[in-house]
Amino acid sequence: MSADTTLRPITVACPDCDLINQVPALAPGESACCVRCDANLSRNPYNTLDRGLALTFTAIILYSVTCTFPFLSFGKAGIVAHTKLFSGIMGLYQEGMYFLAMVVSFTTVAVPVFILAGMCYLLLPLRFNLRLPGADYILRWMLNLQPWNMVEIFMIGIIVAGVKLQKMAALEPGLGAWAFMLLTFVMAALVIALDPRVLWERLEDARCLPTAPR
Amino acid sequence: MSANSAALTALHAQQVSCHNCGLLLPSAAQQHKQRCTRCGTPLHSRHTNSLNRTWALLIAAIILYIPANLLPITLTTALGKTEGDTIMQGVIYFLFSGDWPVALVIFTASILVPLLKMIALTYLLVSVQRHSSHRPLERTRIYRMVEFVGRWSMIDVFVVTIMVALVQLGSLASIQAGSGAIFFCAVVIITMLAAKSFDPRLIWDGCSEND
Repeated sequence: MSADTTLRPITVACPDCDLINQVPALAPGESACCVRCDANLSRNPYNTLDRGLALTFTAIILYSVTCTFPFLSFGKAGIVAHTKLFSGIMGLYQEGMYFLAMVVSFTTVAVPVFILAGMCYLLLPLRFNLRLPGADYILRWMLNLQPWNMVEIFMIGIIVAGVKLQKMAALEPGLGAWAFMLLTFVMAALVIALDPRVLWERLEDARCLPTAPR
Repeated sequence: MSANSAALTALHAQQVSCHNCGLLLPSAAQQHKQRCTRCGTPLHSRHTNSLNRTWALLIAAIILYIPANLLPITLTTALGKTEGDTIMQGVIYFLFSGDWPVALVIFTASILVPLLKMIALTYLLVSVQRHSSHRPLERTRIYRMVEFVGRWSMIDVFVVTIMVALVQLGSLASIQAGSGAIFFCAVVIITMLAAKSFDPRLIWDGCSEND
């Protein structure tokens, strides 16, 4: 069921210029773009569901490691501060910077966790050609929230902060930080492994769960 | 651009495409009530009030950009003395302490990108309002760049967060977030929303009107 399939030909309007395009059948690995403005219209990633699931599970493991193990330690002469991923957010909150605390927790905790949980809810049943109730709603919101998933930007932030603080004392990355670094690559690969059109079509074709008689 | 004048858009074909799942549907008579039959997203041929919303958000961002650059984003307390640092002071500090790659990253992400983004959005809005048919492909590319690059300005907000968490060495040294950080964060979020509310299809609408 999850084997590579050719996508059927389809008529779409380009999201960027509204031109009506006839997208031909796409073999695995092929993609189509708008004839007028070059916008990406559709991709058919290889083995999309299996890859998507494998990367989702990897990301969940890495994110759990990030949250439980020491993230960064910093200091010298016996005064060393150990932090977890959440302590930066807690620090902002305790200082009364509620807005910043909210933004950082939304972009580096809430959105990635929602996307990973949503992927499980969506992809695991789809692998068996099933759709769970509300799957369309969840996919819609995952696509809307995608730009607000900022784990990779946070990663660059860690590097910049490390260089900034090196004059004061050395910044030691813990196991959590290494897991977080891998997580940024896995989440990027997840975006490449999936295409919205393929997910919507698979969801459309999937069987609903039989509802329990009332 | 003669090929474009004959181009058939979904609007002309009285069809509407779902911006979320891409499904192409015939336009309903009462368009404001129409929803996508596959994913349930409200359908609009063009984003609702695109130009007004983008202008409003853009002007808000331009106003907030001023305190974001003038107020300190970090407050460093060392041995009882508190010092505030603005974004530009941070860049200059790195430039002269020899860490020019870091200076370049911060300057690009925190000063250059937000500024160029606001200039680009202003240009796109003005050109669309003048129904310009000048280089639509290049203008669409500018839009894609604005949309893609916007998130990266958040780097500085995250740098402040990490430093606040790490540098709490009691009386020796501590770092707090300054009020400039709030304004800066607001600029990044508001410009991201502005880019999202701008509809690139309006660029191409202007071209077909002139033919």
